[in-house]
Amino acid sequence: MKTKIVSLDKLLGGGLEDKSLIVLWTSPGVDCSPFVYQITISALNGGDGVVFLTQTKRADLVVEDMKRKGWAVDKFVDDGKLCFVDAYSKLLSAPSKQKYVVEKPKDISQVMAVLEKAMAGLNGKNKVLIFDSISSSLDICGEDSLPKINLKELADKHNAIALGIFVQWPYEKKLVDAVKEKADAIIQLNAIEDKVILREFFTVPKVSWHKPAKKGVPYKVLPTGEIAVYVPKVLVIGPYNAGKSSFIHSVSDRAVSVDRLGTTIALDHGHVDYAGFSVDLFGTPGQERFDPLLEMLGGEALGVIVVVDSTSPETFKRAKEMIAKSRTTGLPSVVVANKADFKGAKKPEEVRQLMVLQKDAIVIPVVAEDLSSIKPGVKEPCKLKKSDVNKVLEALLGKFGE
Amino acid sequence: MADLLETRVKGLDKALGGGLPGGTSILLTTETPEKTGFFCLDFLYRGLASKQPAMMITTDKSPEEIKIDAVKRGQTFVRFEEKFMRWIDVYSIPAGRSPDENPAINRVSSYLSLYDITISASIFQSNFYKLNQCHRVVLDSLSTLIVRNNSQTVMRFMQVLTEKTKKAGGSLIYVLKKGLYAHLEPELEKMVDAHFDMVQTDKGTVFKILKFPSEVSRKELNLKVTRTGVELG
Repeated sequence: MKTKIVSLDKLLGGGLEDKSLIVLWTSPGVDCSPFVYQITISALNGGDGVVFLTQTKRADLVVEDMKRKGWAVDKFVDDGKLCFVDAYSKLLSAPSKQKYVVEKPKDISQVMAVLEKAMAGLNGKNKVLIFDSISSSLDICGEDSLPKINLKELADKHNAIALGIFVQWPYEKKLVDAVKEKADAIIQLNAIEDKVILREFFTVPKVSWHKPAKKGVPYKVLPTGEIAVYVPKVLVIGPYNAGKSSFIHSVSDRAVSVDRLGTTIALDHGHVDYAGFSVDLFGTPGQERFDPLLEMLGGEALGVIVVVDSTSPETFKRAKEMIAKSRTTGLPSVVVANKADFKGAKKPEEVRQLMVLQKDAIVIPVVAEDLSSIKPGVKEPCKLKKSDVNKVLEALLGKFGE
Repeated sequence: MADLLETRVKGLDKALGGGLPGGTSILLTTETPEKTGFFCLDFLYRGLASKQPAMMITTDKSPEEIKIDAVKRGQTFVRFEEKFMRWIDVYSIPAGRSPDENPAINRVSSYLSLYDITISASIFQSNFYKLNQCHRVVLDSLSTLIVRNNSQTVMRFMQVLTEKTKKAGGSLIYVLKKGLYAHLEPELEKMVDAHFDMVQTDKGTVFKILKFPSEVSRKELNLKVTRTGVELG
């Protein structure tokens, strides 16, 4: 079954396989509902039936949330293609309007028995079970209930796909590993997080029917509820003549610059695929007259690379000013100490001190690939040592994945 | 020593030796919920007045009710709702109410949806960070969440919320109503940087500082509710 999230289907080797348990793995603060809803809708639109277990909220509120997020599901509820198993209401001793109600929601055997009944009574070409959630079951029914959450067996018996949601609270490692072990495939949602969550990306670390690619796909949720791939933007800033264009051209798979007589006068743009990330780099000119560009590009950036000329400490103040003007304080950042092999170049710790950066700020020295290739009067960006620029990318992208 | 955040709650900073260290998590145990509510709102409001964003996670009253009560004491939270003030309402929907939509308020479907609370908090805190590197959070109350969930689940939630709030530069108060959960207090206290306690005596409300990361000048203060907030002395 295709999830209809194109990049996810590719990572899954075409889609979700029948008779399998897929764990949608997320962490507190990262909303998995767009994925749950899109998979539910893809199944329903394809003629499949969906059983949806809810343990922490009323079923009608799930339907309302789906509608608010762009998915109208009323007709599927009406014709019985989407049916809910209510394992919530009886926790509060409240009445339920659902056909399938778990009378003792703290008893996992009862939850599974009602699910079995609902799966057996479901209409549809194929069947999908949305289990919301494995983590709530552990919280409500106890951590020892995990072996009884037989989603794989249920999927096998009904020739169905079971999608179990797991929110990784600070559980014991043993328990987390046991959940991983149960899954045929894991779709993992991660946050690009520094001080706060900046963006989210998904990976597929486990697929039993396909060799998973080590790739992180940043995404955004469109107003229609659909999930679209998002290409993170990294801002490259620094004083005039620090080597921003050289950095972008050296690090990128492809790059262009708008320059006049060798000096960037609009912007540099590069694109690089590295460590499973696909990143756009935007470089701004160093002269003050172009500063309005800084704020404009800074607003959309997910990370910042600050390029300074290690031999010109008098320009460090300007670099700090550019960080402030781009309003990127707090974003993941790395300082590139360019021309580190030149006479009089400041060492990384000196750069950190002179720029008054925090103790844990990353400063990476970078040198040219071949200084003898730089000819006087030639205005092309100088090629920087690949291993140095890759260190910069690694440090920045490492911050994304933390 | 780390930078101190002035709470600007009258009398508190003096007692704490200047204020709260950045990113402090506080357990506030109480046997006077109403006055504790005043204290918490004062803590948030003083921050808002100095352009520090604030977030209230409310489980026992709707944000609308809290705002009306606050106006009576001259605190108009509505004027900060465009950018700085945010609410996570865990009360209205479980209570069967259908309040109007307000972009400053995220309503959570049930007391069990702790995951949904973290999603709302993350969205708000991401925006706060663009406004100020410090912000303030109050969760009132932990007791209500523990009634509906098991205590281990709530403690895991607390661990996550504290970590995320600290990372984002926030200071956070957890309100715990005394009585039912006295046995959990030692464990909860271990999870936070500071522990304040409010008790009612014959002479009035006493505010006790039971745990704090640094030396404090006074461990017991009297709390008075004034026309503009609270005052400790």
